[in-house]
Amino acid sequence: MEELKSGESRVVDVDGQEVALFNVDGAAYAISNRCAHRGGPLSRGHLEGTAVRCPLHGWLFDLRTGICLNQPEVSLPVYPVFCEDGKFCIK
Amino acid sequence: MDLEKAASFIESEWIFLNRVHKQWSLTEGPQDMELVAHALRCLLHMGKAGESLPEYQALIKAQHADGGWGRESEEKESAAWVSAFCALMLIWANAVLQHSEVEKGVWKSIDYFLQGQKPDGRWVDNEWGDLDTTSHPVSFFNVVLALGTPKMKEHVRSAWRKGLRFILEGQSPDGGWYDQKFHPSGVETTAHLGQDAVVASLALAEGLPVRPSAEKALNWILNHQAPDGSWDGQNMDHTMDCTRSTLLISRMIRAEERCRTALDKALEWIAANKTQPHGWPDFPGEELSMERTCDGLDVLLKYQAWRQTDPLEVVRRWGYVPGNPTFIRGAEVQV
Repeated sequence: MEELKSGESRVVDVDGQEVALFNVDGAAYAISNRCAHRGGPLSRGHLEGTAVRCPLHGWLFDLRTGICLNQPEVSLPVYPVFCEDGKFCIK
Repeated sequence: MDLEKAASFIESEWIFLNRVHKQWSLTEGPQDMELVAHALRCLLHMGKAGESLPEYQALIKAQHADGGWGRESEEKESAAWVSAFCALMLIWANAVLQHSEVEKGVWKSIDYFLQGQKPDGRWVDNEWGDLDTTSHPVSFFNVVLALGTPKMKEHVRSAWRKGLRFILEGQSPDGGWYDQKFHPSGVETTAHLGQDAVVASLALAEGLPVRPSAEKALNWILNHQAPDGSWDGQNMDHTMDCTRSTLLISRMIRAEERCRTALDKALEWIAANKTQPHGWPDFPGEELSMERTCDGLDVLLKYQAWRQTDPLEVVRRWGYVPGNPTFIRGAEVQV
C-alpha cells in the first residue's frame, strides 16, 4: 500500500489479465487495464474523482462499477480489492 | 535533431512499414480505417502515391454509399472523424493520380460532409468531442479549397466558413480548445484544431482573419510542453500532434526561432522513446503501435520539410498551398 500513493496507479497481472490498480484517497480500485474503445492503457489515464479517463480518446470509466460514463452502454470488468498485511489483494 | 538522424529514422521506418504491408493495407483484407489512413499519409509523403493506385481503389471500395467510411472497413455505419481522414487521403493522392474514379470518391466525401453538418457549423461523432470532430472536415475542406476543382470549391465554401467559425468561437481566452466530455485537458484538441483547421486560413486566399487565434494556440501548446519535451503525461500521440502543430503554425506566422528549442526537445523525446528495432508505442515502454509508428514517420517527414530552404514545403505536407501538388517528397528511398 505504501508503494502506491494516493492518485497513483499500477498495472498488475491477474491470471494473465492486465488489471489497472488505483489508489484514490486511500481506497483501492481495480479495473481491466485496456479501454473498451481502442485498447488504451487506463493505468496511464487521468483520475477524475473515482473515475479514470482513457489517455487515447477520453472515454471515462467509473472505477466502482466499470461503466463508461460517456458511453453508458459500455462497461469494463472491475475487481473487488481488499487490504491484507499492508498489501492490496484483488479477488 | 539533425537532418541526417531524421533521414536515417525515415528510411528505416519506411522499410518497416512496407514489410508489414499486410497489417495496414486494404488490398490485403479488412482493416482498421484509422490505421489505413495513417499509413496512406506516409505513402503520400514518401512520394509513392503515384504508383499506388490499387491502395486508393481499395479505399474507394470501402467507401459507403453515403460517402463516408466506418471505423473498420467492414463496419456499415459511417463516422465523421475517420471519414474526414480517408477523404483527405483521396484528395491529396488525386493531386498526383488525377484519376476519375478517385475524383468521384472525393465528390462523394464532399456530399457526405455537406449532408452531415449541423446548422451551427459543427459535425458530430458519438465517440469524440464536437470541436475535434469538426476540425477534420474543416481540414478536408481546406484542402478542397487549395487543391480541388473550381466546382468543388464552390460547393464547400459556405460549409467551410460555418465550420471554421464554430471552431473560432469555441477557442478559450487562454488559446486552448477544451472538451469537457472527452478531452478536458485540451492538449490533443488544441493541437488538432491549430493545424487542421485554423492556420490553413492564412494560406488560403479567401481565408478568414485567424492570425490571433493561431498565435494564441501556438503559445498554449508551447506553454503546456513538459520539461522532458513531451506533452500530456508522456502521451506519444499527443506529443506528435503538438510537434506537428508547432511545425506548421510556427512557419505560417513566422515564429520558427521562438519554437526551435521546443521542437528540438520534442523530437529528441520522440526519438528516445521509439520501440526497438522499429516503430513507436502509445506510451514509453509499451509495445509498438502501428498507428503511432505511422505518426512517427509522418512527424519526421514534416520536420524534414520544415528544415528545407523552401518555406512552403512543410505547408504542402498539409495540402494547404493552392494549386500546387509539389508537396510530394522528391527523394526516393530504395526498399
